[in-house]
Amino acid sequence: MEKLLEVEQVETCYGKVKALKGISFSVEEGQIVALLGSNGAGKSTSLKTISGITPASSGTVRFMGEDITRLSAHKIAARGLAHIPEGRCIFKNMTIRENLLLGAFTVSSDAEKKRAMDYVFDLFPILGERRKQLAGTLSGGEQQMLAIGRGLMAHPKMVMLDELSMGLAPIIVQQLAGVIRKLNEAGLTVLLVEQNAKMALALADYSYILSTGSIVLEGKSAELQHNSDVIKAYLGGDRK
Amino acid sequence: MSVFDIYIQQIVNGLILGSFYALIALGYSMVYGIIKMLNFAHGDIYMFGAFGSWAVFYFFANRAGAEWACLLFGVLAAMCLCAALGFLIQRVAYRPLFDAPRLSLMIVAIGVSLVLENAIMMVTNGDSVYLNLGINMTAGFRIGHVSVKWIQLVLFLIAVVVMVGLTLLINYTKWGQAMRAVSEDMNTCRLMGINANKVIALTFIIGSVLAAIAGTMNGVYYGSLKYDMGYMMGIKAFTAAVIGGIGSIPGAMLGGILLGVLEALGTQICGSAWKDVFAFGLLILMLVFKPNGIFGLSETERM
Ligand SMILES: Nc1ncnc2c1ncn2[C@@H]1O[C@H](COP(=O)(O)OP(=O)(O)OP(=O)(O)O)[C@@H](O)[C@H]1O
Ligand SMILES: [Mg+2]
Repeated sequence: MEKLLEVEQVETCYGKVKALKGISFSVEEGQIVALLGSNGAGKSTSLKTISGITPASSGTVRFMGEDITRLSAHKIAARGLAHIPEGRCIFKNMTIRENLLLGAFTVSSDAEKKRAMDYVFDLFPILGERRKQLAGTLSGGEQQMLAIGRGLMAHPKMVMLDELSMGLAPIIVQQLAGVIRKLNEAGLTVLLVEQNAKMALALADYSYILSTGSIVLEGKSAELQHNSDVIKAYLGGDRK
Repeated sequence: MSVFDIYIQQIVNGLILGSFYALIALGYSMVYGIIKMLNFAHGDIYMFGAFGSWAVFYFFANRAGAEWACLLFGVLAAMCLCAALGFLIQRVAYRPLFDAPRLSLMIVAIGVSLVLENAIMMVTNGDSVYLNLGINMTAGFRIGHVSVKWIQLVLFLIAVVVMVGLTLLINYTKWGQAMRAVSEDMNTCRLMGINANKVIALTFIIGSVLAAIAGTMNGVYYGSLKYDMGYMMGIKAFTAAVIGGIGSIPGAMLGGILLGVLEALGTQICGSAWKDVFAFGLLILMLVFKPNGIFGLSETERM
């Protein structure tokens, strides 16, 4: 399998605070990979570094074999790497339709946009029913659906999802996990960031555990699932 | 003429003044919405627009062109000039400071404002210049006891058309939607593949073009221009933007019109010496009792 995303010895700082202390990991094409860790471990920072929002101070990020470490965020997005940020970050004062169209900003053909939107509405029918509604009026679960849908609008090759499960009822989390699996089966590569280890390990082929800016453990999810002592130690408590 | 008619007359006069305020307030408000800075140089871009169209008007008028055609060239030239100026200012003076505290940006904006004012002061020796279109400024019609001049009607309609156009642009075009989205959440926009710097530049360009239109209209209406004309206008436009809710586009339009009308009525009641006191009194009242303005969003941080 080809490596779609490669992160090598990446360090990222916020002023004097070093949030990532030289992490390396990779995601192969077609895989679902999880990045786990407790609060403040550096999960979101990892994604922000990859997508160019908080560029690395040293190290390399490669996407499809090309160095994207110093590329601006909008150019990275245009290459087909979608980042669905923590807390959804939907545009609350805009309609669902407008949110989705913004997700397709780099798509120039109207027919393509229409097809992408139909695909999203097919995935999440509730969004289709409410397309003219302001996004801020949606429930938390619906907002997460919108965030995912918006991230899919430009036909990305890979999506990075930051805390899909945050603040959602277990039943919604399960439903969204089903969608992620379905998207993956259709060929989408996925990098999941989660505190909800149980859900992520069940979904991912391979997982990395991050603790205070360093990767402390990695392995096939199936193996890590049984290594619950380690997970307890690094994820700060049992999260079942 | 009854007292009632006098007030109606003042409202008519206030509407035209208010439409100038609104056009300038829009630039203020849009820039604030996008990068949360108060562009104190905006009033001077308006002043540049007024002088730009004046200069181009006389360049052609002195070579015997039809007045209306010269004025059309003048306003188009001023729009281009201000678009370039607005773009250049944000690129050279502001962009390097986008990540700095907002206070630094505002101090730079004050600096830019002084540079622009002094440049025109040097060119004009600090004197007023006059714009005479050779049209009858007092011609008009009456509705009952209230008189409306043609020039007022035409300028007001132009302002309305420009504002409707802007509203359509912001709501229904791809880049307009991007502008609204950037004002909500810039980093998320970048994740959508939107070049935020381009959106910021576009915002400055649109705001400056509106200022150029307002500058030309003001020159036509009052017939005289001076290097410091942007100073008070900038503060009034800022007041209008605050009244409407800074960052809000319909707010800037409504705030401008409202300020113009209230100022005209206030002048009628208290005398013209009180004109500015009235506007700034309103600003203070607004900041104390309704700091988010009429259409303002409550979560935005204010400076
Ligand atoms: N904008 C910022 N400025 C300064 N420090 C930051 C900033 N963002 C994050 N940090 C710090 O970097 C470290 C990693 O933060 P990060 O948000 O990546 O953690 P996380 O693993 O996503 O945590 P959570 O599970 O709570 O979302 C933390 O110590 C945090 O305080
Ligand atoms: Mg996080």
